[in-house]
Amino acid sequence: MKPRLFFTLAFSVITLMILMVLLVTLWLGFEDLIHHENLANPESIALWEYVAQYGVSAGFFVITILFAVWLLFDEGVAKPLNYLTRELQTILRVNPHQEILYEGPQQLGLLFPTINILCQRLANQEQAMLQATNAATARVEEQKRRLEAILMDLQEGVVVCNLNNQVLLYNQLALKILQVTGELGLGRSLFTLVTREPISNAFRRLRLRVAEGRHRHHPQGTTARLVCATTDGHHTLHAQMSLILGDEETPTGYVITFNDITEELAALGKRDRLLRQATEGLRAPIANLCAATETQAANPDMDPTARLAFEEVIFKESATLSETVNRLCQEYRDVITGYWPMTDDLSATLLEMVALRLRETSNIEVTVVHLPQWLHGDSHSIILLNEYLIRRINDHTGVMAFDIGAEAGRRQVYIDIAWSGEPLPASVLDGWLDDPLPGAPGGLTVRDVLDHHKSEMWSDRRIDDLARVRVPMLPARDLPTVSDLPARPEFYDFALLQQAPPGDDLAARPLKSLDYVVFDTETTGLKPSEGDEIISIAGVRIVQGRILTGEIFDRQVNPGRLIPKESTRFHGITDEMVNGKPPVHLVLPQFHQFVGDAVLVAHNAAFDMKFLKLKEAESGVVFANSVLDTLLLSVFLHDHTQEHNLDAIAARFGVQVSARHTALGDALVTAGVFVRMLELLEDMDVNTLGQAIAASSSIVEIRAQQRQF
Amino acid sequence: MRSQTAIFNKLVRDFMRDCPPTAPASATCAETVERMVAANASSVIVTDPGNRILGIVTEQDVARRIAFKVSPETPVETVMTRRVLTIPAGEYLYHAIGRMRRYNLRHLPVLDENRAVIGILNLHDALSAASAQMVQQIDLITHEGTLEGLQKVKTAQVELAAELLDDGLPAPEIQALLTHINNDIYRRVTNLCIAGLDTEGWGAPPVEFSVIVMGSGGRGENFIFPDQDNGFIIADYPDEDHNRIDGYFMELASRLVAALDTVGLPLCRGYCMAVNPMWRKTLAQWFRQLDGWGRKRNRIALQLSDIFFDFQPVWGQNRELARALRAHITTMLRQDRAFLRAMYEEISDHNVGLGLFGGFVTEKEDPYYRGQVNLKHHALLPLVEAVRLLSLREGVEQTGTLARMDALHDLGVLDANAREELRSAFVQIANLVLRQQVADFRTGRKVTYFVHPDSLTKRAREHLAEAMKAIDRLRNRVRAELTGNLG
Repeated sequence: MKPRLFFTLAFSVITLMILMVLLVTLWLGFEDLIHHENLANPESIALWEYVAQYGVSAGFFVITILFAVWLLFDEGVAKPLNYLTRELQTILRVNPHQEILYEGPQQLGLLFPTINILCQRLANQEQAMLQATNAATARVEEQKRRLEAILMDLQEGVVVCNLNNQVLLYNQLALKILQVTGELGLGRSLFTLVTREPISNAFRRLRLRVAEGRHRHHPQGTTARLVCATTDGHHTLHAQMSLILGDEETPTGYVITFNDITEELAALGKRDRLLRQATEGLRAPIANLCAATETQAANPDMDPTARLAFEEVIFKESATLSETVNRLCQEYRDVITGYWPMTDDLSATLLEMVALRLRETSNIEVTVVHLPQWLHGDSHSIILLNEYLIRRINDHTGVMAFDIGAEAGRRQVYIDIAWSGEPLPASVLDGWLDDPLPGAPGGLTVRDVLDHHKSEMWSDRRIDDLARVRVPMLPARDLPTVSDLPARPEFYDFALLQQAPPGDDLAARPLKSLDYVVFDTETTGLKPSEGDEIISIAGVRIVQGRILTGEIFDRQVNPGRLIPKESTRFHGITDEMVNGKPPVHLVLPQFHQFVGDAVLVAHNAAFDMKFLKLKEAESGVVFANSVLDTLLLSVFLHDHTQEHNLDAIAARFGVQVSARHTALGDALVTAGVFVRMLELLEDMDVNTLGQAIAASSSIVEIRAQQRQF
Repeated sequence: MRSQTAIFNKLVRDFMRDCPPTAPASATCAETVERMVAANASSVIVTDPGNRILGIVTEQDVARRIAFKVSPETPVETVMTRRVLTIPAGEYLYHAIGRMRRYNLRHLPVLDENRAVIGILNLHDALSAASAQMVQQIDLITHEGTLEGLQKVKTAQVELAAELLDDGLPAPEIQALLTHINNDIYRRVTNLCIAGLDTEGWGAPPVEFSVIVMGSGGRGENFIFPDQDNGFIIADYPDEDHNRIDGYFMELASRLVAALDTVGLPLCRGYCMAVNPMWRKTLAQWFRQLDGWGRKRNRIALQLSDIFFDFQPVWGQNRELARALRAHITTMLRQDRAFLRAMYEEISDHNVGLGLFGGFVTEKEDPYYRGQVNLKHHALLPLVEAVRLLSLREGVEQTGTLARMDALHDLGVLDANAREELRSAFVQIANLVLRQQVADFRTGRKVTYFVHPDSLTKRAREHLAEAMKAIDRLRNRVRAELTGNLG
């Protein structure tokens, strides 16, 4: 209710009450008169009438006074209050700078000036805040514009991503190179545009470099070069990734620049064609010269001395000319090969692209096997070379299925193309050397690519009876060093490892014939039962003793809790990186599906299995698979030593370690170790899964007894 | 009139021409030109064996790069244009026009779901479907590429509405267009969120589902800046998978809702969005929910069902989900007169804004709008609600108010006179609201449903009063028929 109405009503009520009191008093007096039967007494009546008259006039005065007071009150208080409310509403909603002008009665004293001052102060503050906000926004906008202008000027495609690989900023050229036809970029993940593996590999490498402080002395600092492809596989891209470091040198995102080398090499190819035309132009004069010589030879009448001199000149000229031609030919080849950017790449990245290209354009099935190795070379031509070799072998032998993988040698990394059948005779291979590679610029041949990589290829039979073509490659120059972070302490859960024996069928199966999934987890800490959670889980499949690097499971998990700083030192994963990633109860069903019936393998498996078991209820999946532990198998195989951490075993088995302390890196190393263990186990007469589990259990029992003492 | 906005409903598929001749990457330039000439075409598409596009050679390319420049034996791969913009066949035509104009293209190869080339779209053919001034509007509302772009689309919508209004297009058609564009934004943002989840390791949607919009979006009657009213219908799955499956959809919903908010579809104040488990259900849960509403008939149930009954699917591979739910509603309400009666009682105080003596009922509470008529509460809602009630009773499955009127007329529930009266009432009020909203937006005021009667001409005021009377008659009829109260 409005104040004015309220006061009016209040005054009316007071007036009415007073009148009521008067009336009641008079009425009581009258009652009294009747009661004492003084009615007959005219005096009494006259007296009462007299009093009644005064009463009425008193009532009249009271009303007048109250009315006057109300008038004063209404003018002096109620009306100004009403006015004040309205004005304040206007100030609040429409014009914060309006001053309340009031010139009526001043009963309210300093209320109006005080409110005016308050309003003014509020308005000023709002104004100041608005100005500050505007200034800050303008500054940010200005910076953004400047940055955008710089980005636009760059001759490379630039994309800035956060740790979730979501695109934050990019230039127009990047859109072009990445073949984006302009769908909206909101929250878009970089991986919808380019192949995931090379980028996450480079990121892991850089992250590790920073975590171990190596970037301070590293020639490339916080950048790494890589090769990737657009998701449709049509365009090969050279890229350079630089980490953006925040406080305490933790990565907050990365900048990645792209070059489409398909186009660049094609441009080079055009230049070559020109060069070639030029050299072809030279050929005509040579032919003329030769013809002239022939004419000379056919003209026996010429003066012998002149003829000799003439001949000499002609021969000399033609010799010089042909030398020039040869030099030109050589030079233009050098131009191309000299351009070749040689980078360190992970073999799996390149070989996956070979498989992808063949799958897209033919029925040839290529499986990428073995651990990925770092090699140094021109990625584009390596891809083309291997694709071409497989096509030729397919032509020659009719084989439709190939394994391709890299293996580390002493000084070189070998790429093996393997198939079941006969090795190729050297004459066949040599016959391919001068074939131009389709799609390569300037008619590059197989030989050119091999020469450039200081390589020659041969064909022979492997230990496992497959035929292969082996192409040696240069090893990477910047080999990731073995991490000096301490290994996870050994973890035993004796109850857990007394696993139920697998069914007879499974137990009797030869170890080498089984499917395995080798996996690893990264966690927030070492105590699963005290609230530590999985933050990353990765696995790789082994089929028939081959590590299938094309079948990888790799997920980061949002643990739903903060990741302790001390654990980030080991795995490099920060809270920001898992933001937006799925929770564990959504990832484990996916992992369960990936695993299927395969036997699970892990290093220190008790630790990882404990985490999986604890989440069974929440995720609704039970991992009832048989489990093998490379730690226990290592103790069983090498009881002469106490060193059974993964680094030590990998060194013992000669497995190259890259990107250790990431779930995928560790899973791959464990897989490499495990495949070699299978051979040794055979020598120790452990041939079936049942025997392998029995051997492991015996180790657990020994450890359990040791613990008791 | 209708042809102006019709362009926004057309698909690329219906306007493309047959695929131009194709050539493998290894073909020579001579062969390629021969194919072009033989087919009397203006371009040749270079494809891989899977019929996926690698590049294109056009007449221009022949003139500029091939004839007399390279030897006829040069593989076409080396001279073709590699970067080819394409468009999916199921995309709306106006997006194709926008893209072609933005990148100054005259041809756009059309791809099917497997990214194989199935045809080509000619700018000329596409433009023949759009009027000249429409094309400018298309340029504005097909901003691609960035978040700011989509925000611009929202702003451009207002200009589009304004221009069409000035052209004398009836408001309901403009509303249909606005809804269409907004639902298209829904589709794009949904696809994007699904792709985003996949790359971050959440996997693909674990079961089929459908995104639905409710309220004005479902009726095709968006004004400027509608709130989000959305939900999911999820295919049934076993209970033990709830954690996993609902975990996915919860995340999808929260990303979807946030993304829509950023592009200018503000969050619903009533929390009527898929992030609310109330609006994110499996088909079986929806059935149970509906039956529950039917049994309880309390206030909340009635209000919620009121929002819900106008739903339409805007995204979903499986149209069957939405269809099954709609069928369930139809059969349930046909058998449940008591529920309709309760629904009527719930809204019985939503009267039209006419006073006892024929004056307009104006705003009293909010001093800023004092003296103005709230056309949503006092005109549109009473009409929409009454028509909805009759349609639900008759088993009409359409959700648009005008479409419902037509269907009711066909069923003999509304006679021709009544339908004409109500139709013009709806059109007139929608016109007033839209015009006011455009004006509000242009002068930087808050966009609402308030119109000041003094701002209308005398004739417009009379028309508005007529319209309200017609609506009032309809409401009296609905009351009489549903509650038996003739009062």
